[in-house]
Amino acid sequence: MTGTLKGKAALVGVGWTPARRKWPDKSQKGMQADVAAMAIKDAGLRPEDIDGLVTEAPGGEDANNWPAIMSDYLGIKPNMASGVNNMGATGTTGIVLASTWVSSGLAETVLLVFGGNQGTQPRVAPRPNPFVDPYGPVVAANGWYAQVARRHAFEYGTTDEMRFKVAADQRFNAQVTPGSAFLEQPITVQDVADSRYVADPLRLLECVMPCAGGGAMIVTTPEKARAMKNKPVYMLGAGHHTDHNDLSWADRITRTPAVVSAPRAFNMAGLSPKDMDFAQIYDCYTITVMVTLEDAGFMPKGESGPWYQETDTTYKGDFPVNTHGGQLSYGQQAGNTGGFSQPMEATLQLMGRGGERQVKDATTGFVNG
Amino acid sequence: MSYDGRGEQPPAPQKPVPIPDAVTAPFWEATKEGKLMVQRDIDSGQVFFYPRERSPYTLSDRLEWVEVSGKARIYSFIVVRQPGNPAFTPDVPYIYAIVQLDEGPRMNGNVRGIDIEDVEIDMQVEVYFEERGDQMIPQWKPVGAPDPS
Repeated sequence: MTGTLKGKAALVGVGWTPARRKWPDKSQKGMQADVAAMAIKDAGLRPEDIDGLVTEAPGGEDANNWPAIMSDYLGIKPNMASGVNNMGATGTTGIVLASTWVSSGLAETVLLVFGGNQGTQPRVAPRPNPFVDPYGPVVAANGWYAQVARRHAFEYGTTDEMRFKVAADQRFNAQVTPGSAFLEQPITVQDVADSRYVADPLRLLECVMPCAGGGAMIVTTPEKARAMKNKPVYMLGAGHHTDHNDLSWADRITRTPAVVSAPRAFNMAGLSPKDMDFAQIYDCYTITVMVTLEDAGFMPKGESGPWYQETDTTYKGDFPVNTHGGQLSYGQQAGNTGGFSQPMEATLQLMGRGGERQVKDATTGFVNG
Repeated sequence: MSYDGRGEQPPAPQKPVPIPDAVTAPFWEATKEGKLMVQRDIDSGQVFFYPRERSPYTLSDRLEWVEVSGKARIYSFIVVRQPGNPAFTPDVPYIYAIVQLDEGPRMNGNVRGIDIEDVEIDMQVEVYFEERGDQMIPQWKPVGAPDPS
């Protein structure tokens, strides 16, 4: 098959900080340098081995120059360097980008690095939107996913309790994930129900908590990967799709771009959902995980609610989802490290380094950003 | 208005007032006349919203403004209990909705003139206009209800 990434790239090193609300004594460059150093050491490499860089500027930094700023700060001189901006899909897009570089010979050993030192990041004030702001929206994406949740209930009968189980199962996983911001804070479905509304119908425990921290990984060629100390984790298939930014422009708000990107990835890999040993799914909110799993083909459209009621999705259950607790229960780390947590966790699991939360005999996993 | 620390209150947060620009000016002129208008791609005949310089169907810049019926259905909504902008706190709880015009395009808005508990997805609503600063903004109410004050 032409134009495939199958078997053409491997993930070989991971560096990941715990999630904390703030990290006041660390600069953002310092945060990214820390995780870069961790990942490079984890792969058994030295900084001079890095010839590719994928990164994103966290809030308040110079986005235009960030790849050069970090090259400078790390003391590396990459032959391919790029910033990535794709909201929550930044990390996964970065992995695909790095994989295309190593499969084409543009670079051999690519460092991906993300991170920031505070949860709520300073952002350039968005342009006023005269068709949204005058109506009193809620903060960030809370309102948009709340709309999706209410529409999903209308279209498919999904209940609040079905959504709450997503949060409860993931919090269970987080109890054995070192670095989680929610250690020793287990929750039940009732606890989620009792938490206050953030954007009715979504409750507080269905929404991520922004945190500080960072993550980095190394992508290299399969040949180099085989000589390294960690068990290589191979790229088998990838797919992307962009549908909309403004929710009022989506055809159906209960349908995500995964309806296109997931089949593209499965096709490239020659695999299907039933071949997966786990799924790490971008989880800014509970409903996000549900609609993504449906659109990726893990269950028929609209049936994620009953599926969650019947399925143990903890790390030791029937089908593990977000084995690190997801961003919901690890903490959503700054600079799109949150969305990078899913591929980092998948990599650790497939390397056999999941610790107490290791999925038994995991050899193949699905990751979404 | 300034806050000099001697007992004057700081200015209350304001609800945002739309600022017309070159593309949206016809929309805001029409709302002042009590009309809801959207753009139409002249060549493909398709209507769309939010306003743009070019058609999102063909990228053509041959566009015209057309009046729509003002009838819509609620596509989805949230009950706001914690607004992002404190200017809206006195209204809590209120409905923030995406409505779908009978003609197809969707718009954001509040739904007023009805108890929160009675609001349902797919119910029919119609447009009315609320004064906001020097503009009139489209808002939504149950069909046949009087304009909420």
